[in-house]
Amino acid sequence: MRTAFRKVWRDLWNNKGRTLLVVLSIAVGVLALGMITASNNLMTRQMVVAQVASHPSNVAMSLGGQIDEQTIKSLARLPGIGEAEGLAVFGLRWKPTLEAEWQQATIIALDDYDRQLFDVVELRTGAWPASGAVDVEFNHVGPYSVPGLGGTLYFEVNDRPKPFTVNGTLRDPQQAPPPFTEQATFYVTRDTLVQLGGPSAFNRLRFTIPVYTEAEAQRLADVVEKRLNKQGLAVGFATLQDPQRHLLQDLMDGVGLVLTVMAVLSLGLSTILVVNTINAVIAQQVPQIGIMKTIGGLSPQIATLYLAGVAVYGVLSLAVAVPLGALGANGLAGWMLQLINVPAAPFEVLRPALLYQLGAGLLTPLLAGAYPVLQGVSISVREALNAYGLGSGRYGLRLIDRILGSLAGLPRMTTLALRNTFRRLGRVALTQVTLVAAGAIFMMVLSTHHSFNETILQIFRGFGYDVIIGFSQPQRINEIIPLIEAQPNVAHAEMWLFLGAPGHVPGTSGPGSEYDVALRGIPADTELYVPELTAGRNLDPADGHALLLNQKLARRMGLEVGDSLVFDFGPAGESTYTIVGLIFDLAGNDQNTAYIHRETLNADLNQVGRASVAEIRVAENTLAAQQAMETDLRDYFRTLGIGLSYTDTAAEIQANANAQFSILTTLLLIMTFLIAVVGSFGLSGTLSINVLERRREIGVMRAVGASSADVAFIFVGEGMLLGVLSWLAAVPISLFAGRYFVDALGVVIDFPAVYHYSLQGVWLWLAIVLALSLLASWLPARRATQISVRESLAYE
Amino acid sequence: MASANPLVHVDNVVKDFQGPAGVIHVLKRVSLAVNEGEFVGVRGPSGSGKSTLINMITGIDRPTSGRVQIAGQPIERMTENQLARFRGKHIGVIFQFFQLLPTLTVVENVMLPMDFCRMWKPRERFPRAMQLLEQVGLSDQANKLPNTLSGGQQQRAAIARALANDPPLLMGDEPTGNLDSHTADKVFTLFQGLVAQGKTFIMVTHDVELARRMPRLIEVADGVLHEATGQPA
Repeated sequence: MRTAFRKVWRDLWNNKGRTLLVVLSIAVGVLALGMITASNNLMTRQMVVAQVASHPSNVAMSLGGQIDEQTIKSLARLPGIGEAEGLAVFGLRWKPTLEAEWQQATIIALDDYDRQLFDVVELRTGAWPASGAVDVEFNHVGPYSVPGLGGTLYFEVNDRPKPFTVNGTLRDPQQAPPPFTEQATFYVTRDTLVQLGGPSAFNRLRFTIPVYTEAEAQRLADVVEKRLNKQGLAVGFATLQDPQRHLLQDLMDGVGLVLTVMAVLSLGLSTILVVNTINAVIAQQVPQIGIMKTIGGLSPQIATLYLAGVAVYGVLSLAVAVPLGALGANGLAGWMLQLINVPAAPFEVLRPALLYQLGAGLLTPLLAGAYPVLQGVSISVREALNAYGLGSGRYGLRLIDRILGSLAGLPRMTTLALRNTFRRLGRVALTQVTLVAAGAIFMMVLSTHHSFNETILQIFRGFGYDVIIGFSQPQRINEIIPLIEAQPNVAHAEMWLFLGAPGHVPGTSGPGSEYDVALRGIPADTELYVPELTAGRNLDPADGHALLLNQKLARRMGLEVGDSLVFDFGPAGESTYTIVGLIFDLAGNDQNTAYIHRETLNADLNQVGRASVAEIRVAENTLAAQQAMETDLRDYFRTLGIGLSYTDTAAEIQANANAQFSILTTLLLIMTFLIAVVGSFGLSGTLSINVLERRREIGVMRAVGASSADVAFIFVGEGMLLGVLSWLAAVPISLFAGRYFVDALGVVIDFPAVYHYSLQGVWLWLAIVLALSLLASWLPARRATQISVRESLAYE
Repeated sequence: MASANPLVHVDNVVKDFQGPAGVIHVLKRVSLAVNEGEFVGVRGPSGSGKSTLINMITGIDRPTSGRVQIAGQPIERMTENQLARFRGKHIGVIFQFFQLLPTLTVVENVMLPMDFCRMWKPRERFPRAMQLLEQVGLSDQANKLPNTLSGGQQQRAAIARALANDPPLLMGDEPTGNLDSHTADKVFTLFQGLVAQGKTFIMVTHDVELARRMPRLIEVADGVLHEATGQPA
């Protein structure tokens, strides 16, 4: 059989174009599988490594006041607590040069950079902060144009720019690069923070527990909060952190799952393409199969030959897919890790991913080729030797043939292209599967992007504000509103009361019963807020202790419309509210918002007419106008000596939210691109095989006067027609399946977006598929024009 | 004259084909006996059934009814794999268009049947193939690919391949049909030489000159066989 195997190798070598096509078809699917599985593993592993290396705290609390070292030490002595540490965080304005505009920044001061207990920040370049010198989160240097090492930047102190030297860059595991953050973060000594006007003690507390469980961490967070409340100190929010699990692990797992599904889909479509191609290869080899049977070849022997050829395709595909997959995996993992501020690992080829690729690369073509090969070699000698390879001479007998045959009035060449397209229905169907899948997925991904953006837009429309101003202390509403409304370009202003408070279900107590809720006290006659209701009704002006609860928080607490929630307002006591509606709301810490009447909240807090946030609608609603309003109001309140904790514009918040989701849609589009490549390979392969099978016809056409353009037109026409047909099939599929895709993705990333179909995606895909079809048909068409009359009519 | 044990025995074979217009009776109860060492020509107009007759004898096709025995073996009842193996060992087929595998060299084409039928020890196959090529005058073209050879050379290579497993019976379906007259004559002389060596040869031909040189000629007309003397075959 050694001689026969030489035929296998030479068939592959002598048909390099076809071999390359099959190899690349397999390689795309194997590459996708390897790249995604490896990158998922690399990311997960690196996230755990980074998490453990940073010695994460288990509970991080933001405080409504300051605590000193004594207090921290006493808290650390509470039963169940391991170690405790404080840090100070302060908001301030800065600019990179004297001429630049002021920007908001976060300033963090640690007690001792050399002896950090947990959430360790690593020095990357330069030195730790010193007197007159600051460090910066290294991910923020470029995006926020922070000067380089040794450069000078300016902080706003007493309304004047005060210069500081950039002393170093560091990596803070708690910080993320844009678009997941909106401002630069700087690191200073505690003394420097006081010089900048920041707190002299600590307004953040972190601690660890010896053996972490979520329930125990929550219990101790409640204990510490109660202890602080007794000292007259409010706690803003508490974040729990599993030491073995990165904060964003769930999100990354979800994204990884989606990408894995698409990679498997890509492999599946590659397999279909391989089936189609090997079908055609065997069809061409039928006369040779007949000869081999005539001279003594058994079906199993001949099948072994062809399956060996298929195995060679698989091995060659691995030569392409394995190195590219490793490069892609490390690149993708590095990029995604950089997004969440986790250092990437050195380049590595992971054994599990390699094994998946080896298995897929070898088994996929063999499984795909088994049926066509076995069917092909089972043909009888007589049929094999008499085969013409043009649908067994059956054209004209099928219904579709008769329908197409009855079409009149079209130019002859167009008619030929149209009828030729449907000569091999099975082959057309398999080709269409990959193209239709690529098109449907592309349109679904664009619809997903559109749905996310529209949902975000809808949510922000519901907020109604263009500019938001947070005050350091609650202000008198009747003093602030006139000040704001006196400014030019203000269409409307309202004051809301923001407060973080622990809430629990009535009758529950103990560890895990309390949840941090971001309360929003809104005016009863609010013009700005339109809730995105998922159940129940909106607040009525006549409502007393009624509540709109974030649906995500409600789900966590097991609450529904009609249930009650008790809030602990510390010294002001507890108050019970009834849920009248559930809302979809992106705000808060992990969507923990609740909306109640401002005056009801003020009454519960034993205060009157106070609010902590101003929300303003701008008359001329452009980004520039919003930013100008934000700057003007900030400067104005500063001149009045009214302290601000933050300011922002809706456009920038929305842009950040969109940018975060864009990352997901970018990843999905990368996978869609791979699928589209498989589809165009399929089309090109089908057309190439059609050219080979119709050599005699081409020769005859040439003999009776067809020009090269005529011949090329037939095959290009076929290709374009197949492309358009796939688009027509993909549109309704994407419209129907897109809803489920968005819903499923929403579950994975915990963002229940409202489905919006993207018409732009429909037209964009039409343009893409026409371009792909043209590209895919160009080479086969060119080959067809190069067939000479003599060569084609002498061909056997 | 047929011996008691002819090498080829076709007995009352009927072959019908189902066409779009109905049943076509291609062979109508034909019988034929060919003894060992005979050189038999088969001639007839297009559509007369001569290629079908050859296909019956080579087992490429099966009769609708009747029996076909080669070397005493009834081949019409064999499975495809049994037929392939039997054919590889007992029948050498030579086609009009040579049908060499294009991606194997001449010597590899000749060795291929030996590989399939596991005839000769592996290290004997190459020398035997070269010997056969020597016999047909192609030993200097052994490592060439078929497409680089002339029609006559390709046909001689096909003859060498047909002899690979030393079959007793050789079948040619218009083996000189694609050759010029001079080359056809040379190839025919080869066939005569093989018959002289004891092979049995049945050959379909259109060539009047070659037909005249056949010791025995069967005429096929309308699905019925006649000896060239006018007697039924």
